[in-house]
Amino acid sequence: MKRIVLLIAVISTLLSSSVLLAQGIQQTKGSYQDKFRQLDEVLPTPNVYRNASGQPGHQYWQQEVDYEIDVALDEDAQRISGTETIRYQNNSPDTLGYLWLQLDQNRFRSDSIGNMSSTFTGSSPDSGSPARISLGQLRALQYSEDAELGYEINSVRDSSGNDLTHTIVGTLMRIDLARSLNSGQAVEFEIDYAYNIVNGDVLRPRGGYEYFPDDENEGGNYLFAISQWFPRLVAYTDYEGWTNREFLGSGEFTLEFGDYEVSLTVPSDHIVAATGELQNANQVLTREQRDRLQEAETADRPVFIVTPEEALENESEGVDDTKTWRFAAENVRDFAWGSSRKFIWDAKGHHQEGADQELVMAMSFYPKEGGTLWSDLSTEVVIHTLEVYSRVSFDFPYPTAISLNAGFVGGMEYPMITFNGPRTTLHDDGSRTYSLAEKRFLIGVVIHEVGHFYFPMIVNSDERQWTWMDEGINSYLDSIASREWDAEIPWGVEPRYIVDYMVSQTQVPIMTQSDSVLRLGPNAYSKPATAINILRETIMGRELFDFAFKEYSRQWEFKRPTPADFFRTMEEASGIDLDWFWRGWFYTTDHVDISLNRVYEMRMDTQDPDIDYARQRETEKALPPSLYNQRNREEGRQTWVERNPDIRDFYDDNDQFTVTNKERNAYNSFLEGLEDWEREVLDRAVSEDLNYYILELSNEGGLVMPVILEMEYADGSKEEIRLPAEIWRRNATQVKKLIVSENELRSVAIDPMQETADADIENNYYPRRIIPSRIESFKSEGGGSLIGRDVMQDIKTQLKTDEDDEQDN
Amino acid sequence: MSRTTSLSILRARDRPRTALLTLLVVLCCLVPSLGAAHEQKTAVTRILFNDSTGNIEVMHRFFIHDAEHAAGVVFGKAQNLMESADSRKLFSNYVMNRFAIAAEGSRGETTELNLQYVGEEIEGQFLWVYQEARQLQDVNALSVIHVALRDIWPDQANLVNVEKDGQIYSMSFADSAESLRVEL
Repeated sequence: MKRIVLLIAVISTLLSSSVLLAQGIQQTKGSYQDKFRQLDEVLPTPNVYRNASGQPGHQYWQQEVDYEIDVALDEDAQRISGTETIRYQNNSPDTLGYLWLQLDQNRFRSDSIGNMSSTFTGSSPDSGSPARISLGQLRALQYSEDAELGYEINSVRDSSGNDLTHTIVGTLMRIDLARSLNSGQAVEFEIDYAYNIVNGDVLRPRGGYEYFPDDENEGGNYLFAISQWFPRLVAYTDYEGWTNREFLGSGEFTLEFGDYEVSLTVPSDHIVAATGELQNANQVLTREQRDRLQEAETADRPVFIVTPEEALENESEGVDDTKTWRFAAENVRDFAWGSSRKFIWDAKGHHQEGADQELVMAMSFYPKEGGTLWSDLSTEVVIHTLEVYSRVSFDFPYPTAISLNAGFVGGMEYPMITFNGPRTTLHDDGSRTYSLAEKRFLIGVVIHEVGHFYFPMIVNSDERQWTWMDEGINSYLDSIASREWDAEIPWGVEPRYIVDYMVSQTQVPIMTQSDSVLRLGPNAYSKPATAINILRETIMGRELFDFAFKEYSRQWEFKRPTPADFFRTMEEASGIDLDWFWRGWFYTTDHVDISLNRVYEMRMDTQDPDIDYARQRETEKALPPSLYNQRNREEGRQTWVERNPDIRDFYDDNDQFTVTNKERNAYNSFLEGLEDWEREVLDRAVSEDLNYYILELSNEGGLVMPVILEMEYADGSKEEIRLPAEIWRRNATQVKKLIVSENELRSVAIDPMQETADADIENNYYPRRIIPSRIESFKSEGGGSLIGRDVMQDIKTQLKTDEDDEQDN
Repeated sequence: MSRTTSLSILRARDRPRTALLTLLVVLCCLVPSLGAAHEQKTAVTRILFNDSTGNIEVMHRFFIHDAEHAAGVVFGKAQNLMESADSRKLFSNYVMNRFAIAAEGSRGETTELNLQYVGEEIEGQFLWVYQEARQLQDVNALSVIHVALRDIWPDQANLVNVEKDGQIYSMSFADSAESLRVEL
């Protein structure tokens, strides 16, 4: 029996050790955690495609995919049908027997993995009381039941017209090539396809249609914002092979760069906005519209190409005939477009002196529902964004930059074109207004989506794998652009706003595949944006950060970076070890909470008994007297010694601090025994008589961060001391720091500007301060701050006079 | 608090215009909105056991823009949260009618907290709504109901952090979570 037990024990030991081995290098004794451990065992091994500096390697490659697309938009049926001819250039060193395509529209099929795996979001039906479901949700259910959504792939043929075997796997399609495609070879094939456009108001997709039943036109009007609308090649990469992961609806995508020639046949009264440059303006625009476009190139303010009045007239009735708009775009990773007879169109040239693309036409397309919110702001915000982003990364390389208003999209980005949602509110008297919150949202969303032109539309990261790489970096950049739009607007990008998320128990590390992320907003947007902001303002400093970030942007412009490339480049270009930072912020769920627990005050012993003993006597005297003796005195009780002052001996006149020549001799021989340099050091320390303080710090949140100390001295002066994060490298939980100062210290505050997202402010102060809660502050301010007053309304108030008061009475 | 309480909260007087139907059985999965590249649809609520005041303080933080749209849907008319104190009060009322806490004592008895309205204020792009109640002597667990904005957008996610004695206990109101319990 014993033997069996022993055997089992051995097996379990083997099992557990194999688990340990699988996890790599581990600390298996004690609880020491090396928060500064280098990331080399976590990051992929550098290779010829992406090197150890975070640059594209000397054999970097990426595929090229060119598209010729010719489709017709059927407005009445809300349907797209046509053909695409795809030329696939295999630049990889590999031989490919098949190609994978993304069929994103299949996400909307009722049997898609995305739909079948979506969970019930209404109230729980298991409580014995009825569950709830909103009419909007019911509508979506009914729509999914009725509408035939998803791609209809009618044929896939090679350039000789022969059918190619194709297999549809959810939102993906594999095309088997007749002959394997060798490295350096290209293949061309044609797909005939169609799909019913998704109703945007019902499913709120990234691209779809919006219906306006109340327009004057009989039967209403449609606004189409069309994206993910043709079978697109899945990216084939050096780091993952085919990035053929099912589209579940959350994690977006990465694609290949290529050239596009697109013909869009739409009702003849539609205005079309698209990625790229219009090729046949003479056929689709009036002479007046073309003149206005030319005028807009050098205008100070946006010029209407289609005025609000013209758009209103245009949308009042429909047509039966069609027009074909032809667009071309070079070196883009995707193509999107919008079409409607409702569009107002304005444009203004943005000039980039010395850039390859000197003139960029910034343009906005919006229906009357967008109104002055759009005509006043949209195009100007586009240009502002281009200016700021180009300054921190690279010149904008494309000829157009568009903001298009689709009401069902919060905000969505494609190359050169963005879909943005904000609208005006219609009042009973027919007027349209917008709130301050809506205005700020428009500015914020246009900056963010136009910012995506750079990340990931040009710096081509993979959003399905690493959402933070474009959303986090772009959120960091949009905070720069928004604060440079109007610094007076509180944009809400301060580090303290991420604290609630970072202390929460229900979160996953930033480095988590997009579809597995819990709470995508703070995980992939705000937390990485805050981290990068802290990296710039607190860890690296603006100069080093901006240089490194520009390096990253330029190295990976029109290429495909991974997180390791970003992490490595930022280190390489700045000369700062950041592995601890990436580890803490991106690979763990630690938060920042540094506590200052004690401050010890010390004074240097001079070794000179005449000085030291006297000081010790002072210290002794400074102690509070005996309470017992004090009360005796209060009661008028005199001691024997006090009553008999005539009787005194040696010990009444000397105490333990009395210095004798014995100590003086010892001091002199101590001095004689010192080396010259030792004596000099001692003399200087004695003459300077500085204050020595030991600060006892602990790391309560787990994330190692620099310690920013604000020392306040007795004379009222303040001094900032910034201790680098490396102070935690030998002990990540507790450290002591010696600070020497001429001045006497009064108090210390950690992170006084709240720049590190430190969660608990109360333990940042020594001595401790009582930090009122938000509600306590709110009450003490008499009910909140002044922000949020209805100044526009209140300013109409008449000043009351004495007469008014009399009348009131 | 029994779950019946949750229904009494949901049936509160200012019923949203997206009328809530009651279903006996729900068989199907829903199609949530896919979301887009910008909107966050997240809110944070702090429940703080404040020992210096003896109160349980509830601090809800919403994105103003989300809250403004929600208020427009709920009250059937556009609301301007930044400009109008009345709009903010309406929104606070809506939130308070969709949020409740029950405290559980060591013997398992539950008491619904009598949360009082304290006020609301704007900070940056956030709107805070404040509530408070007196602390109870013996609290071993909290049950929280949080439906604010989630009855309007199914993909709204609300994080609740309970802060007691220096510890944080989190609840994530996402998917179909409507009432969650946390042991303290």
